[in-house]
Amino acid sequence: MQQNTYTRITNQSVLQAAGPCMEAEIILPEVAVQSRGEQPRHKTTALIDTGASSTVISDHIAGLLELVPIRRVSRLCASGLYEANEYVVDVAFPGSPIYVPRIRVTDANLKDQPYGMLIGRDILAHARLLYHGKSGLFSLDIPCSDLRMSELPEKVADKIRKSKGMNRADRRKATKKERLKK
Amino acid sequence: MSTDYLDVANKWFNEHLDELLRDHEGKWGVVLDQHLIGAYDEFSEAYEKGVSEAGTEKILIRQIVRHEESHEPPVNLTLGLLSAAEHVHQDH
Repeated sequence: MQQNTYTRITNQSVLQAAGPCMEAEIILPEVAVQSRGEQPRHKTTALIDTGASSTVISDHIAGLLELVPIRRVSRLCASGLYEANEYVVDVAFPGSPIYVPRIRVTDANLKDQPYGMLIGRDILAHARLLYHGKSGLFSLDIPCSDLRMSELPEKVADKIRKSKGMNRADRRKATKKERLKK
Repeated sequence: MSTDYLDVANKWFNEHLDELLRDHEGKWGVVLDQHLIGAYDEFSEAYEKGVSEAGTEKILIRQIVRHEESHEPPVNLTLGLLSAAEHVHQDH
């Protein structure tokens, strides 16, 4: 099965101290771009956080990208109840072909954190995570079959089809079909 | 960014919940101002159609259920353990 894999090799102590961090790009979905031209995007450091049920982004990044919340959710934490905004974003991981389209994320104040994003179990639900502490390695695989091709930007979907060995004519046909679906 | 539109849409949603449940229970509702502009089986469909239809207007997308599932915050964040990780990282 075709895999989308991100692998990072550091060393035992760095992986233990920093955790499984990867570069991530938070992107406004194509459908929401409207007249803003190119899809606004922002690179940040993301931590794979198995303690988070859903993915969280920094409220600062949400502001930079001028993301528009689609919902407000209540959360209970040690200091009481607080509200977070929920957004829909695409997430890419530069240096790998992984592209997760239209995922719901909430914001949080990550101002004093070295991360701009916490990758939660909603993304991990589609993935295979390998953490090899002794050799300072971790990798994240997301099978292509778990990605909703119709929600991927055309360029990304075309790249995946190409990696699957589809010829140009078939790729064009598939793109045309997706456009009609939209 | 002002999120007043969410307050207005949520208030309307809560006031009309019985009616919405009767007609669209379990679906994802898209609310623009004080109107339901669509109800869809899947969230992704609600987002796609809602954003396309609303254009530059701001929308609320919420599942039409009596009780929304609670949102669990990231454990490490609420316990302040992420900061601890940063300090350890800086020491190395």
